[in-house]
Amino acid sequence: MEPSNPKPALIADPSRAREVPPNMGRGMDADSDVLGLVAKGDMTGALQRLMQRHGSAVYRYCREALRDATLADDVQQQVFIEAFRDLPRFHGRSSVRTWLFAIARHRVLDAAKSRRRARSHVDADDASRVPDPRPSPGDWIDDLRLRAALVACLDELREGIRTALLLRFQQGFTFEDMALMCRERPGTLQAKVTRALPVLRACIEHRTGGAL
Amino acid sequence: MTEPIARIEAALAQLGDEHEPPAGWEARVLAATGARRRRPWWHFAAPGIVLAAAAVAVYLAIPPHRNTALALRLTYDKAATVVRGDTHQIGEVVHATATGGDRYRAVWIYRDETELVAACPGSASCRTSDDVMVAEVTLALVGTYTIVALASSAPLAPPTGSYDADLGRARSAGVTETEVQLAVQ
Repeated sequence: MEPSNPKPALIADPSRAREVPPNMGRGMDADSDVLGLVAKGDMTGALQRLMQRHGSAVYRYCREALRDATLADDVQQQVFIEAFRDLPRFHGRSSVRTWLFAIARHRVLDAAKSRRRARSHVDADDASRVPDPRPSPGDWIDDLRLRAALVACLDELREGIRTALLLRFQQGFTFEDMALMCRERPGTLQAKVTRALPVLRACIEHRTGGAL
Repeated sequence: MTEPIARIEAALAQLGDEHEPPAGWEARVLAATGARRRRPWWHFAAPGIVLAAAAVAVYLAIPPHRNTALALRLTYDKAATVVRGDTHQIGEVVHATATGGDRYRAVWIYRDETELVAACPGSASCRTSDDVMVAEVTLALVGTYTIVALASSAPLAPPTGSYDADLGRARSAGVTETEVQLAVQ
């Protein structure tokens, strides 16, 4: 098994550092101003601040987890409506961002479940419509083909694993934050993610016929 | 070359970078939450403030009742014959004017404390306004006339004709009173 990088690439890349709040669930909450607005009764202001700060990230998470732009749009809106409703009851056991993504994770899983019930099979979507990423055998897979294969391979994973991978690497959450969202132990989540990465690698290499 | 797993992690980190939420999504969320938006405190206080302002306006518009001391003033239409001192003469007309005191006023006039000569309100010669009550009586007989002005916050019981009985009942009801005696010869 390949050793997994304990730090997500998202954090390692300085150009993406802006997307990671400085205090995710530790010490001072980066969204303490949102909580201040809630305390003052300015719920609309708090919601606007949340949407401005986390709207894009929540949307990207929903979109990649569901692979459906329209559904992702609906779910994203549900997430913020629910956040607006529940913000006065936020107790600060996690950061606001972690709490928000916990809502997003639940709504994504609910939406995926409803979609599964609504149709017996998942329609081909973006992942299967992309051009065949298969290069000549033995070729090194470039980033574009890697990405296309990754999307397709993520679809083959169970939803719980897929969302865990996205929370960890796309959104940069620690396993401790994820444990709060998923109500699982950090070690269990780490093990799941660590086991999923070689599976993804094998799938990508199989789909592309190349070597990573 | 980058580690294969590290490449996958990096690719995962960049997933969806090109996607942005559809335009107008924030407005749709705000619209959906609009019905439950918390109203400002003054929204609830406004009706109370309006009522309080109306109450103050009514209070200021109604002149307060002047709760000055009860006073009794007598004026006379003298008879043709002039007499000396404080003695009054038969035929004089006395105008007893009561002012001040509480909301309800009365003027009772007795002769020798046993005969009710006039009672205001009630007598034909009685005139009343908001602030003044005037009883008018002609001193027709010899004797001592006792003119009593009374005031009370509650309606006064009408007199029965006996100074002692009427005043005793009025005093036990908590009225204020003032009186003047006239000797008529």
